[in-house]
Amino acid sequence: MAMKRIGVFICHCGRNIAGTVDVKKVAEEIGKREDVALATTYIFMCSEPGQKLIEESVKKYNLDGVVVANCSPTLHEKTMRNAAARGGLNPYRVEIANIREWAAWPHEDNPEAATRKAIRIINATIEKLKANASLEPIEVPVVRRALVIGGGVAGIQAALDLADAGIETILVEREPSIGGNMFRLSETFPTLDCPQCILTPKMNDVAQHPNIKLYTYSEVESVEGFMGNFKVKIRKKATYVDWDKCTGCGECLRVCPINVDSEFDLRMAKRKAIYIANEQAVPLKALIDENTCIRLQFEKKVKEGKIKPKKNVKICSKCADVCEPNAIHFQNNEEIVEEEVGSIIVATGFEVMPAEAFPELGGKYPDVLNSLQFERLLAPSGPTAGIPRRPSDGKVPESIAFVHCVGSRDPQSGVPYCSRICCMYTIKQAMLVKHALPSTAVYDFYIDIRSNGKGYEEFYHRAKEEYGVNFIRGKVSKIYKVGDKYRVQGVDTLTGRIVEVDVDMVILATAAKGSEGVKDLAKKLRIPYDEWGWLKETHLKLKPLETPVGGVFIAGAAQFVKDITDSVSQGSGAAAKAMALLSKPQLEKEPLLAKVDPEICAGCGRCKDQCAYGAISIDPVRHVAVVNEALCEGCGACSANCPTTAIQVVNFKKGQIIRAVDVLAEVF
Amino acid sequence: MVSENELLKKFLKDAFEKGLIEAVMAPAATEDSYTYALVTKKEDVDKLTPIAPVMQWNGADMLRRITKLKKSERKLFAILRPCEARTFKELVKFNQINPENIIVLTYDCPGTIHARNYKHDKVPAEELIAEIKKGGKNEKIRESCKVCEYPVPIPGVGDIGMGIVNTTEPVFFSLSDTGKEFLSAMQIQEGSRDADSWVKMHRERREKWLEEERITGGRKGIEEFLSSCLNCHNCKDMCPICFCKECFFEDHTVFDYESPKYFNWADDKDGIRLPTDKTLFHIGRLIHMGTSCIGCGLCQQACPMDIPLYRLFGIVGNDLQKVFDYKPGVNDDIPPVMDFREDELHEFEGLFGGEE
Repeated sequence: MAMKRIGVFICHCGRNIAGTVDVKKVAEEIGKREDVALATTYIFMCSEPGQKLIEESVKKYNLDGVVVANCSPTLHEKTMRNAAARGGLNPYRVEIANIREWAAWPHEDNPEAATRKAIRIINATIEKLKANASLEPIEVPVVRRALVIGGGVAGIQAALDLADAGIETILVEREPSIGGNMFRLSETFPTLDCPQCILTPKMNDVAQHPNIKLYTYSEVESVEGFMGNFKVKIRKKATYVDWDKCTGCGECLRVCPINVDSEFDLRMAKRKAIYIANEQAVPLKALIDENTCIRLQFEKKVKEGKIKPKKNVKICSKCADVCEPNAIHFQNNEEIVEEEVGSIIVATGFEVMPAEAFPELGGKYPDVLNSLQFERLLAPSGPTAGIPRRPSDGKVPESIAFVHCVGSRDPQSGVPYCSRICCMYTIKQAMLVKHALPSTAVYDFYIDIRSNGKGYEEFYHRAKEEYGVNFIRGKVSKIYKVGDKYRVQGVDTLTGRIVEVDVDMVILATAAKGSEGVKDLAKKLRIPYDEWGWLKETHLKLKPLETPVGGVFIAGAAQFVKDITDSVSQGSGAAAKAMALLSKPQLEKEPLLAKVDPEICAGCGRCKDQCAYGAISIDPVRHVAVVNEALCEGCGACSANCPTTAIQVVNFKKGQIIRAVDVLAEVF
Repeated sequence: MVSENELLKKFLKDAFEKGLIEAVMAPAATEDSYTYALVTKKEDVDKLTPIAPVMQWNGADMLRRITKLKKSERKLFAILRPCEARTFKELVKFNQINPENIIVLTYDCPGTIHARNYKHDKVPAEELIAEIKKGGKNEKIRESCKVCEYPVPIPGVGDIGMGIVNTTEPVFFSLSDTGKEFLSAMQIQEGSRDADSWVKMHRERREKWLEEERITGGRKGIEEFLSSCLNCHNCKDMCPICFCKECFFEDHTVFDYESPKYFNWADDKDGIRLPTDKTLFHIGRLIHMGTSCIGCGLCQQACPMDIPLYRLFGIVGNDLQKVFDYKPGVNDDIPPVMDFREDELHEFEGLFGGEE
């Protein structure tokens, strides 16, 4: 039944609204409506007395509907619904009319029109509200398990926090070992901790924690279900080695005759076709790279019929021959496992652009590296034992140039944003070079130094004052080879002079982007991302860990590039979010969902094809669409595409929307 | 020489005898027109006129009624015009027809007479057929038939084709694997005929028609075009693509207003035409069915005021289909209203760029 005793509460929002909109006049005009029992104003509806006013008025005037005219419903819809509910009104009989963002703010220069527009917005909202139904939240059961995707420091932290809270947690990492980018680093700014030393305890905790199930060298294949009830298929990639038997002794690596570039060392070192990710890998297990192992390649070609093996041919099995526990079986042991979880944390991290992407800055030369590659050369556990050497000839460099902002803050050839961590790690790398090679000249080309963290600015000054790094404010335009050296050509913007230095090595602080493949993963999870592969949060300031998909959270550099401190904080934060969700036996879900009228549904399936959540199916017997309430997010895409609106979102029915539009479309 | 209709009836009887079919849906003559009939016995085949001079309903719409709730329980042989066969294909995509257990035969179409004209001037089917055998087309047929884009069977649309154009003896050919098996079980040799120039004639006419009959003049133009509309919704009732159980435009929760609303409108617009939902109905319908309009022209035949509605639905439908690069009913492409592409609608501006 249409409502007849509606209460309208108009907020001044201090001077935000009342400074432009004549709120008294609005109340007066709205008060003339037959269906409005009360139209009043208050300075801050969101304050406690404001809420109390709604609560009391609902009782006093026996209101059957409430419109609060204030700011965007994303801010205070819930507050106002709760206030009305305390007064005894069904909370879904409350609607927000946004007169701040829609009337007051955009029309500051024309108060009279802003006032008329505010009246119009409230009238439209009342028309919509009048047919609102009373609703009860929907209850959904919860699986008390969590999935963390990405075994970098953020994912590790999230998994450990969840596991410590008694929640069984699955950690999926696509590399053979957890540790992520942090484990590749030499030392960390501004404390100069050794990341291997501070991360390995956490990595071992993950491996040993009774509540953590670790899948490394695995990827998420598909995600079905909804908040509290996800079904995840995980593909464990083929290792050709029985990890239950492998002891990680490394004998096989010694005998393997095949050398290929190491992924962990970012091509700064070689590994074998059978390999262990790194010396401190967790888990410490060997696996065979099927693309380079000569035996597996041979078997593949035979299988495809490309070659015909001669009889009694001896194929390489050196690794298996020396393997004492007989772990190496050469069998494709790829496997899909299925896990049920209630919440998912995505912590897929970042990657930096390759130096090759910047040929004008010498990216094509072997001694021009990106920053992450250089980390390996500075790492005590790295291929050069912490003494940087030129990849081309192994020479210890007598001079090194660092270039900031390569691709960052450069919408033309890179990304428009600041990659945030480059200033600090470049300063650190410059410092570490000076540590290892005090006589080496270090030039650092920067545009601005962004050192906005605890201890960061002090760190920068140490590099300048204690270590004598030459900081040159200016952009590098060109790097090219001159004899054995690389000529860095740029401009010193402080003196206005052209600068040219010849150096042995150049390190490019290339722009950071979301991890490779993250867009595919985001599609599987149905969460949004941007063109550079950063996952999109629900609200940059107030919901930085949430995604629009209930139960799916993001942490660490997957959202945007972060340093270790922030990544760890976010890992813990996302874990707390997941814990809050999983702490309840039942979840309450907003009942504003799609409903089908089977009397008019023709079962054509146009709604089904539009549903991004897979919530709609066609009943084969009744030949009508059916909505799975647990999956539906109430977005309304189905309703918009139904020619007969047989499927509609509750409280957003066609009559309600058209009535509201009718009001808004009247001549102004 | 036997007529095409006699030949088809013999074909159907043979198929019954061989146990290849258990039911037939095809047109049958009535007092003043032709209806669709469903027969399940060999003896009843004589009641049919497989190629009728009138198309009162769209045969695919009849198949929708039969199979929507449950697939055909018997081996059903349906004789459909090419436009109906395309409708059949389109409605399968919309989950309105279950195609299982249905065999569709379609043929080089001689076109149909407007049902109302036929009532007064009973042109026999044979007269229409005689014209196309010579590669021509009777001038008495409906506008939509004259400008038909696909007047012939299309491979993949239906199962069996019958060629009539430019041949003295009709030929059968298969359009699908099912059709191939069927013809071989019938021991019929597959044949061919050359209909290219005949189809070309239609398409040339269509191009000219698309250009000349386009409704211009924007909102005023369309209001003038629809000025005699009774808002009876007959066009929607006859449209096979309008398969909704309840039309959005017949929902009284949407189109009933309180009196002040009418007065406000009249104030604002210096008077309004009543009823208010007439043009809106046609525009709304266009949005709903335009991309799937297969061009049967039944909307136009259904109009009691003789508004040439196919010029609206057919031409705008044609434009819309171009925008989405979609041809309804001729292949397995997904209709635009059921498909999501990240990359579409680029040429939208260009299409209407030339007009106001």
